[in-house]
Amino acid sequence: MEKIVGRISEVKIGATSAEGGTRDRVITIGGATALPFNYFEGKIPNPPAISFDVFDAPIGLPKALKTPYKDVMEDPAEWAKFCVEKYGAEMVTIHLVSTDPENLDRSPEEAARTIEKVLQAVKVPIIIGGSGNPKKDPVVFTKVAEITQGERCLLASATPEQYQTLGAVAIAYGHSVVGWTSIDLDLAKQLNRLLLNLGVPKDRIVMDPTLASLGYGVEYSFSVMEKMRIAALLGDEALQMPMLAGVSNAWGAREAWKKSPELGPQEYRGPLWETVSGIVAVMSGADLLMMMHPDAIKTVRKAISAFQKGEKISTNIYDWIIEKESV
Amino acid sequence: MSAKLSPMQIYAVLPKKNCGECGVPTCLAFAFKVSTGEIKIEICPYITEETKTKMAALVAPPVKLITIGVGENAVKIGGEEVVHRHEKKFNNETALAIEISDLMNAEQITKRLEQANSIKVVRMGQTLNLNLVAVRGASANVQKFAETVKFVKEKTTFPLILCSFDPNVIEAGLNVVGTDRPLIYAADENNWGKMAELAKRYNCPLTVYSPHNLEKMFSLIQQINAAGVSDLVLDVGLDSIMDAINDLTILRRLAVKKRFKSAGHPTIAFPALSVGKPFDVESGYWEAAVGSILLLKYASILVLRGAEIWEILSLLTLRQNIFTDPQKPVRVEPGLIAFGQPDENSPILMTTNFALTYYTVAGDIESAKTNCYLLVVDTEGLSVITSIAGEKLTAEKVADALKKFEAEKKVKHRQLVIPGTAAKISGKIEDSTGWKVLVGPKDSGEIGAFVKDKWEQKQAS
Repeated sequence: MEKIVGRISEVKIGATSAEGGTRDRVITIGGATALPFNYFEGKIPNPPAISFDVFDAPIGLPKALKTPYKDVMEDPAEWAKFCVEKYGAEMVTIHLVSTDPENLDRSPEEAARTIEKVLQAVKVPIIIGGSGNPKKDPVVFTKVAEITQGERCLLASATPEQYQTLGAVAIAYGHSVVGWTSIDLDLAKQLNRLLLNLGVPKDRIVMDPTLASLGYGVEYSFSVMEKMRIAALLGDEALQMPMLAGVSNAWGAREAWKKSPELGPQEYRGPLWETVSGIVAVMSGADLLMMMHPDAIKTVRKAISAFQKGEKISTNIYDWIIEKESV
Repeated sequence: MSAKLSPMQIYAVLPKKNCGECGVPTCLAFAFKVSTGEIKIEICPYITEETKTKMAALVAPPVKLITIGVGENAVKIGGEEVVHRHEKKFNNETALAIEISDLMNAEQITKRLEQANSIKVVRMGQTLNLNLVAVRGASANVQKFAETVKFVKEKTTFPLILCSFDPNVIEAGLNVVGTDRPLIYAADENNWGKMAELAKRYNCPLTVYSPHNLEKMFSLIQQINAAGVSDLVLDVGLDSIMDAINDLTILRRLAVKKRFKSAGHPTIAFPALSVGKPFDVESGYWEAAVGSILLLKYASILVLRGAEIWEILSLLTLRQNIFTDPQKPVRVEPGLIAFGQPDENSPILMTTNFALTYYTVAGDIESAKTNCYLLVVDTEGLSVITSIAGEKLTAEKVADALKKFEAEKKVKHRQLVIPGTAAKISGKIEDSTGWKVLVGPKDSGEIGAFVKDKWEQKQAS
């Protein structure tokens, strides 16, 4: 790339007791001055982080996704704890899907109690996800942002419809906020501007430009995110926010869960579908991934770590060619 | 950043005689045809050899187009013109190869080739498959290698990659398949002289191997070019995935932005090197992850160890996605499609012919097991929201589609379910169709519930 003059802002998630929170660590995302893993052209101070998805009420999930979590799915606090203890989650996202009037229509107070329990159960930074209901989310976030004051959570997500409330509570209670738009550079930029105008500091905004699933438009996401990141590095300040990718969306693809023997076992296809979607996300510039299947997370983590350390991942080709043993 | 020359640039080097001997009345008209690729500049009888060579170099894509194999199964790689997909379509899909070794017995080889041959997946109207077979000279024995290559040639139509750093082994393979234009793997700093000689003699493309050392790569390329071989494929090694994608990125940028000729060749990478044995499920995940990274970052060929469909499918799908034209939305045929076993009381839902929209909606209907018809309106391949904004989805188009696909013959009711995102044109659709419009969910994932609650219950009452 010619003339990198921009830098992605760094956003901190979580606050330790020294900073007024109760988390055992702070995760910093962003800060890059290069395209993904192009260490020859700039710096990438923080590797992409992965947050585990947890839901506060039963939702329809493919069997392969339920299996690892089946004993803890009834209780979001237990579920979060399980992710940290069993899989070493560095961050968890609590999706408050139950607050949706179309779901269980739980009250903001109930949602707040759920979040409190999660904060007691785990000490890692948390992301709080809404139900996506444009009327209910502002009410829910107003409450949960208040009771989590000081924890520096990431609120997901503000949309053009309700960003005033989401932005305002993020400012008031010291949280960061995600701006969600649908695979469109201009919309993402516009929402960033709205949040900035509202007074949300640049280092407290994360963009979610929507990661479509592998096979169902992932290339649109790839190109839009890559374009956004290039524009940011070339100096477009309204796009210099870290990017979030909802990688678990991969499970929406029928190849990920549908039984069809001619395509091989779906219990392998699913985690791999999520893995490859995760790879597309990091290669297009995502700084934060929301993921779900332990095997997919393990594989994407391995790739991120291999990139970061520049570690050797391969057999020597001279040895490989004359390798006696075969597959 | 495209390699195309403007008509005026071409006109400048023409004789301007307007002789018409090329079959086009004037030189200017000829220049236009050359610029669109309709006609080759060589047709002009009056331009000099020097100009021809100069022009050919100017119009050639910055990454050289290389063909492996002959006939209908030949594989084209390279020919790329841009660094990033959003600038312009990537031209030639990354070829996927599976490896075999000359130490495998006939039964093992047959089984593996059958596995490779059987991978044919129809997705969005395209058949996706593997492209190449890489034969490793593991025995380091010329006779054994020649026998294996002969056996493989009889068993499959895939073009081959002959893998050995020993020129004698390669020559033994070329004796068998030399006229089929296999890819030779590979010339390095020690054997390049002999390998170049073989590539020249058999007129086959040659791989140049220089792990994480582009300086050395370029000097090797120049020496091999001087020896008369110019169809090259480059391997930057895969010791570290970081070094590999950095080198691949630098190559592409040098080729496209600096027009640096030595960098302008297609590339090969070996995810197969990154997995151990036994090849288990975890290996499959990892190999596909490494393969995806390389596919997104300019590898023109991937050599794989895994050949199970569940692994290959993810790479085939990613490849299909990434090599679509970013300027042309992928579309499906408009029509009235039946899902499940619809009858005359079943709902008719509406969507657009943007492939992504269509397949998402179709997938959701299938998973909800909803019996219905889906009216696919021609919106020139745009999504619902975009097509309404751009007036490609209008009430008139909906009315035309209902008529054209004879919806009235399929159902006895006159009610159309439209996407929630099309709510604002619901009134207009009622006016132009005479049908009653029901505004459905914004998310097609809720179609199943919607039909159950709002359609079936109403029918029952």
